[in-house]
Amino acid sequence: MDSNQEHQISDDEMEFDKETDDPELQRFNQNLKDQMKKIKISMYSQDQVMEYFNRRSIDFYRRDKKELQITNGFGFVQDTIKIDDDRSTATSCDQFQPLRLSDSAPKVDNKQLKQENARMKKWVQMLQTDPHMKNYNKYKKRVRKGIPQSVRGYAWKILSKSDQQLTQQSDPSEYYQSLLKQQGNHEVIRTIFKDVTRTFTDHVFFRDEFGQGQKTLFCVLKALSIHDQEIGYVQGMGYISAMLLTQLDEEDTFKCSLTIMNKHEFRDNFKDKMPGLAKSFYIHLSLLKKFMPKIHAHFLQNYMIPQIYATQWYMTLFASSLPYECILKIWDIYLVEGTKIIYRVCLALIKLISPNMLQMGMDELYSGLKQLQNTIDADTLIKTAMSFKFTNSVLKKIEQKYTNKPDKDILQHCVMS
Amino acid sequence: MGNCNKKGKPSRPSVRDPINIRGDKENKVSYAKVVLIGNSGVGKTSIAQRFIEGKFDENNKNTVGASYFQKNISFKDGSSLCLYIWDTAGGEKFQALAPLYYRVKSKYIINIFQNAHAAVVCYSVTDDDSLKQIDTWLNKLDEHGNIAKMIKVVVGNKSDVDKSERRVDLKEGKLFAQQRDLPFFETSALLNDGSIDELFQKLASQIKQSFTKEELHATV
Repeated sequence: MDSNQEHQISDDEMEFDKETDDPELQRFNQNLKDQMKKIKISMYSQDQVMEYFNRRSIDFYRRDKKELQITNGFGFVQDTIKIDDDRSTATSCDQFQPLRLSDSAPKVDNKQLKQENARMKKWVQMLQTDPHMKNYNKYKKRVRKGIPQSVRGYAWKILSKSDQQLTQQSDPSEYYQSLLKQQGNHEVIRTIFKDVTRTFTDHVFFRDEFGQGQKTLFCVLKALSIHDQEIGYVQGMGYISAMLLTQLDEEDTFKCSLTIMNKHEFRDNFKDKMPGLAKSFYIHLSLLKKFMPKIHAHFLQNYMIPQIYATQWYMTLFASSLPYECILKIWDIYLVEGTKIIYRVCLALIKLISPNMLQMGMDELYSGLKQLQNTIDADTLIKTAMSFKFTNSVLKKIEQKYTNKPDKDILQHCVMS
Repeated sequence: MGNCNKKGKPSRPSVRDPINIRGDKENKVSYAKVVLIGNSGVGKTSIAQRFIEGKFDENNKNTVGASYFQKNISFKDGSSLCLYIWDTAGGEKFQALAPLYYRVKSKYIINIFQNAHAAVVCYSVTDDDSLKQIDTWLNKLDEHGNIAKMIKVVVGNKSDVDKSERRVDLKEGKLFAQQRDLPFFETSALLNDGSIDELFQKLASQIKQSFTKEELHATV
């Protein structure tokens, strides 16, 4: 297949295998290869991994990029154009123009621009005058329209109250650096090293194998794994931090990841036997039964149990399963309102599979859900999610029931082995 | 994509019986459940994707939980077999989670290996540790699988890599599988070299030979 051959040629490994006359470059390449071998043979010790990342990023600067990347408004690569040496840059530019930019970039006219600016100002003011969300209703009303992209990072930082983390440390910054200097558990480091090359790789920041983005993600995850040794690193955490890295800098991402882990018992998802997940599934099924009893029964009859379709939803807060814009909007609301929005979105996704769900078997339900997750647009999703109305006290009641006297019919579908 | 959907309302499953996904009693199509297991990062999802969609996704993601694919395999004699492939997360903690359940004595035991007709146990030729872990995976199958005839194959993936990156030779992998009396394949999900199709073709024939038509019904 053509695309495979293309992949091979553009593969990084091939690139530095290429013969070169420059003795310095030859030595550099050899060095890089040796380094990589060391990592593969040895046990991914911290120093070697970092050394590898560093050499790799120098390597990127040296190499002529033979690719142009076309991204959407959020930095996700939609297309790449190979630039031929023979061709002039002008031809490449021509090639560039008619591409999908117009479809993927948000269409903004003057009125919208003004509106967006006004919203931005309102948000900045609100965040500065009321960072602790004393006027909760105002926050709630505004956040459901989405936080303006230009202040999103700032807002996430404030809303997650990430500055309240690490208060026992006199200098959180220094603490973060000290975590990075520690060796870490080999197995954990190795798993993180493997996973950073396959998290959000369609985003420009994380695209280059072992490039700057992957290095930063590695550092954050490593620090998290040393900070919280009981959990260490579990697959899924990478998506949370990567998502944050698209909006925040390295240290803020670390702090904000900590807040997310520690809030709403999210951390329980990553403990042994995943008790948090079992509880989420219980609440999920209770709500599904309450709002869509027929579909609930049909799902269970067809073995569509939450383990099959909802694991990634609850473990990554949708960061591994939905289009980026949906994740942003869900997270905006999550940081203000808490877990309610997560359950709501789950219900919405199920509801939106098809109007004929009751006639569908497991295959169709599963593939319908999969397809929906790739194509759903943020506004429809949030609107549908909000149509499921319940209060936090309803959630609390279900939670209490789960702890004290769970409904056996529901519990049997949430058991972990 | 091969689609073996059959309309029809599934009847409520009876206790203890393995469950027929679509509840079709005609059994015109045979179904088999295949689980893809192995350490994290050996390429299980890429193998499934190459087989199902015929492509390699450069933006591969690490699997959280499990995902599920299906594809029809046709045989020369005109018959066909629909494979239900469960692609699982390799991460250790995910073993608490198994997306499938089976009712035993009115208790739900959740366990992905239940009712699997075949298991594809994968390692990566760039990672010798993942080969060593194959035994652990095989033990898990013995412990939790409920079909004694379950077919197991050992697959060394990423055969496309440069010699300098290889940590497990072809011979080594072959020997490893031979000692355990299991069929062996080396595959590349990256290259479109037919290795993955061959794996599933052979696996399907083996399943067809080993199981009776009655045993080949779709169970989750």
